[in-house]
Amino acid sequence: MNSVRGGNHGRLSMINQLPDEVLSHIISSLSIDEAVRSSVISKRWGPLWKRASRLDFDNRHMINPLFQNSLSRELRFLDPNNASQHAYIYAKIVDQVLHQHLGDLTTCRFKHFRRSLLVGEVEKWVEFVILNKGLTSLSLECELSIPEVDPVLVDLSIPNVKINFKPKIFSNLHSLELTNYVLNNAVSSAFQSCEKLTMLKLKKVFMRAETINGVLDNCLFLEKFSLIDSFGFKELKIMNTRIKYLELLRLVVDEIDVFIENLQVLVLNSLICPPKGLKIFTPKLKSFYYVYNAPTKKVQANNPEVRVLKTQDIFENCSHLLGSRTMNIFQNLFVLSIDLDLNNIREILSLSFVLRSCLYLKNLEITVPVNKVSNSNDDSDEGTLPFPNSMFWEREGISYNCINHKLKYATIRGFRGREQEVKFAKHLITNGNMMEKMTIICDSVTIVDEAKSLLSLPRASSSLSITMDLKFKTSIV
Amino acid sequence: MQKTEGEESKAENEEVKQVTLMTSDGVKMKVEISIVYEMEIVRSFIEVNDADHSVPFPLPNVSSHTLDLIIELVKNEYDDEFMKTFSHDELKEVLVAANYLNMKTLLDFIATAIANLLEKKSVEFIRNFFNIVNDFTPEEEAEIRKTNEWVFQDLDED
Repeated sequence: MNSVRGGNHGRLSMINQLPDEVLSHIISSLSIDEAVRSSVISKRWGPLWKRASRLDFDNRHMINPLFQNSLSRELRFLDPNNASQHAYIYAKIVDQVLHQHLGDLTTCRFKHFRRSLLVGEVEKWVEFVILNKGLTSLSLECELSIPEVDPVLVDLSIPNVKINFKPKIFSNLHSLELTNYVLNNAVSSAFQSCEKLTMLKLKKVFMRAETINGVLDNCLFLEKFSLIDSFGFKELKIMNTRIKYLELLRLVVDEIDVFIENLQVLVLNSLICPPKGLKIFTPKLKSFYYVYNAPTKKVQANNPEVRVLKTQDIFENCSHLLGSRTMNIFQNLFVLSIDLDLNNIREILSLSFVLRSCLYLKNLEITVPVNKVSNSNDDSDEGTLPFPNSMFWEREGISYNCINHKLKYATIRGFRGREQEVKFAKHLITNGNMMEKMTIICDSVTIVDEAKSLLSLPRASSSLSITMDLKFKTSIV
Repeated sequence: MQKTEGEESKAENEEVKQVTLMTSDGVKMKVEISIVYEMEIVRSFIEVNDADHSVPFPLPNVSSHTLDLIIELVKNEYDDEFMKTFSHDELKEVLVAANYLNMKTLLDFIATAIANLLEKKSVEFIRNFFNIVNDFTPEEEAEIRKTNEWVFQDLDED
């Protein structure tokens, strides 16, 4: 192709008149090797990468970056003979790139080898980018995860992936993310005077209760906190008053104590905790999410208390369902998104209680779990209620304020067309006066007839549109 | 250009406040004020001059087709799927226009999209994409390759 400057391409030649900042912006979004490689494009582009605002030192892009076969690259990483050599190359490149880079960095990520930690290089790089580059957002990840051990059985002989930071080192950061480390008590001093830190994410981190408490005590200005796949602590106490968004994913604990007056969003996933150990006080909660599909956890051993919590457990222990000693965290919700077996009487009893207590609910999403096919349960539960189970959602005198007056959007995933699923969907369609959109996602190859029959029901809201979909089309998102 | 809105056939909709923009190809387009407010260059003019919105604001660097794309992007809250339908030329035109109009969110979005497109592509591809002529002498280029050898290893074999 022959592109004559100023030729037919009139407007397109303006691409070369873009200011350097715009081009740097594009370079900042490239992976580290691509960014550095842009230096060979032309004289003008040559120095641009050195002004990138973001550097992502991802080891996968730094050792044999042009080696495309990722599978064998993976294998090479695991070869212990190569490990020290790789860490050496990684360190050399980091030093070289940081040495060439000019000006400030806003964001920096190091995905490094374990060996870089053993020789103290990671701490050195962190200090450099924070103290010399005006960094505001830092993400650190150790390449090799702590061996895949059962979190319940983990002992103290954790491999040495300890990381040590200088006191107050995070005082200028806005956002910090740590993945695959062991943190000890000393780390809390790094969080001293971190008034700017609003976002903290700890993933696959091993730490004792004192350590996490020490960190949280110092993070007074935290607004968003995520604790994911982390272990080593049995009690979790979170009382940071400014947190608006809290995410607790796949934790194994004896007690979860959350006392946050202004919490808006609570995202939970597959918690292993005795139901009575949940002590949650979040009176202003607006959005609640719970997913518990974690069938791989092998911890359901002897103790029946030690199992993945179901939504029903949280409903029972965080509302007034079992008495008024606990706070009802659901009463001000706008969004409720949960895994719940609509075919299980105990589960829908708890759902029904919660729906009656939340007055403002706008958006309800229910996913019927796939793997728990409890056919036998349905019938054996028959007779525990003073009315036939099939009447559950059609009882006289029981009305749900939020469904009648507030609910706008409803989604049912994992719909298989079983009786209670149909009855619940029918209740929403025939009672939801404000409903705008309902989505039924079938857990089957084709849309089941029971779902199609919902379309012909009289709708309480004239603006309600009902969408049918199949699991495998939508679940990719 | 596929479709242009040559005639001002759109119904006069007084409910939503609109601003008329005049594109480089002479098309007058009425655009919702919420979208126009993302265009810093137009916004600052309107705010300072409290201008009569019916007098077209000239955008000599933006074609009607590009403006259509931008409006759709903003309306769709920067939908990735929609943008995947863009041709390379359209991506570049939107980038140039976003910079000219000083639309920060759009600029972030389009810069990331273009970076994703350039990822794993050859240097030659990037030169072609941006219409760049390699103005390095072979010696200069060799020197640069030497400085950061690690990103150029094996490159010549491919």
